[in-house]
Amino acid sequence: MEWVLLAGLLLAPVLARLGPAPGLGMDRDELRALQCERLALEAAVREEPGRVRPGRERGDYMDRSALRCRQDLVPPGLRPPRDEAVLSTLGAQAQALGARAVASTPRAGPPPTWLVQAHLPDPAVAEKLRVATQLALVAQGQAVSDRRPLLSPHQVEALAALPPAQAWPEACRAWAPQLGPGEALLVVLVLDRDETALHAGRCAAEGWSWLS
Amino acid sequence: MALLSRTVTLLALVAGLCAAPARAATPVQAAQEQELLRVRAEVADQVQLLAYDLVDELVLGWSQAPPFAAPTAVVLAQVTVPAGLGTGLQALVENHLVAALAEHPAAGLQLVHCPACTAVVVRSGPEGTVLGRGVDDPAVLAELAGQAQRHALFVDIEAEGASLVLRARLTRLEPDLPITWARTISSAAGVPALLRDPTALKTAAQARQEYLDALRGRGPVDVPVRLTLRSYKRPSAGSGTAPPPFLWLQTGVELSPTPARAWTGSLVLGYSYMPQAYQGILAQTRVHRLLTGRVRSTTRPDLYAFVGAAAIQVWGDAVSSFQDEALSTADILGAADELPPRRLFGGLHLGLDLRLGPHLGAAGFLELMPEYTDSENLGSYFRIGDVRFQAFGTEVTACF
Repeated sequence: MEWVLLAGLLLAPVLARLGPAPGLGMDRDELRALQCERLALEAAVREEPGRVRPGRERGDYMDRSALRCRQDLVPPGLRPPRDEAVLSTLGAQAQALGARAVASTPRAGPPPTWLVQAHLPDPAVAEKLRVATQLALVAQGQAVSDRRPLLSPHQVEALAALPPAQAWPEACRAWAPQLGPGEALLVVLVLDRDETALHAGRCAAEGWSWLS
Repeated sequence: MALLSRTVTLLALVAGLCAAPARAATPVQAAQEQELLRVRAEVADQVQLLAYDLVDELVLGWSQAPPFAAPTAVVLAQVTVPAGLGTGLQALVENHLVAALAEHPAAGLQLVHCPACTAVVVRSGPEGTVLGRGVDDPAVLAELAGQAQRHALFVDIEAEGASLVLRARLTRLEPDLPITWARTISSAAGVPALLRDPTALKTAAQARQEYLDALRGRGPVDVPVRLTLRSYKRPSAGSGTAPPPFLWLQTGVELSPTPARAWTGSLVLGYSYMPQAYQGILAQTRVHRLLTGRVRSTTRPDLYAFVGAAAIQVWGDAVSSFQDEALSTADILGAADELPPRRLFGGLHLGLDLRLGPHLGAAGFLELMPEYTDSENLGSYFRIGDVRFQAFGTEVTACF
């Protein structure tokens, strides 16, 4: 009998999954694919009705909150890690880029009309980043155009020979004549093929500036 | 699809500007590719309904607040789906969007065909040869400017962690390509697809409210009407005679302390009658516990476990078997001239109750009768040590 009790006590934490922890029902890989967030009781009752008991009118005996865990829509490994790193936080990164661009605008003069370009190794991911950044700028009340300034093949060939720190300002020099009055080009880029951190620069008539 | 030349240009630029040298792609084995294709198809199936929901939300938003003052010609320029999920999903989403717009003229978007906008064209000039779509080519747009005002609709759907995010924008087709309207709609994997009726779209908040109203509208009290058949096990040995099956008609109340109906209790009264055999009355109480989740669903079956107790009184010529001593044929014949016997006994039961929606249910249970633990007229359907379940019951329930 004692052995049964001892086995029960040892197995209880494994069998009873009180939270997102590895156990019989979930291995570590599945656990890593979860995105968990802690919700205040009011938010949990509002967003998960029926699953979270509302607080009592005279208050509960303890502070309660809820831990909500969701699975990623795209399983790990389905997309290249570099792309996944950008796409999984696309909205947040686009918001941050938009905010940096708006903050870079000189206070004097009217706000610019933004043109957006994204330069990532995968063109499909770059296009999604471009769209997300455009909409983030629109959401912040900025005027945005879908137009894209071009570089000719021989300009690209010349720029490719330069280190990034020089190439982007030179590219801006080539783009500037294509920008209309009051237009500014926001360029989102990576400096290395394998990096996932995004950099941004602002190209306007007055020249190139890195956005920090 | 962007201008091909621009894409090539950008790729070359990135390749040139990135400090690290280009790396050859890792060779992927055929089996791995097949597995990837299978997983991609599986994920696409899963996100399809969510994507439809986002598209519905987009069209509903337009119906409630049209982006244009008057119906306006719009070219569906581009629909993209989460990277890596293929073009099959893209075609499905595009078709759904077109169907939803056709069903909702109040949105004010009149989809038009514009070959010059969507076709890939080649244009040569002093600056070089440009290969791309009309919506990206300023020269094509300049030609279109003289025609009726047109806009291009771009829809992008992307899986961002646990959320599916739709980004839509309307661009006026003129050389400056100003974005005149944009919206981002986010969903989450934890929210089931609403499967809204395409001819009567409603917001996710409205749909959720309807669901909650349906949950809360059930009230704390239900009135079940139940038809129950209790069968008694024949003894496996000896000369005893098991009682006949009893068919009960029961009704009463079923109570729940919360709208979630995770716990419910019931109290019912029943009557049973078989001509020239028996009659009976019954009072029964039960406690149910929901096994499939924490909230009783209005849309899918739910399973309850229950325990209960019943007090049963039966009388008639056929109830003589409810006694400990074995009932022989002689006893039955000899009792013909006597008053029919009357028995009062209790039963404890446990079982499973499958509820199909809010109004129908079917259950099965095992019952033990402590009064007749040693009866030679009753066998046992199930035994735990000395505890014998002598009766097995099945029932169907309609709740009102």
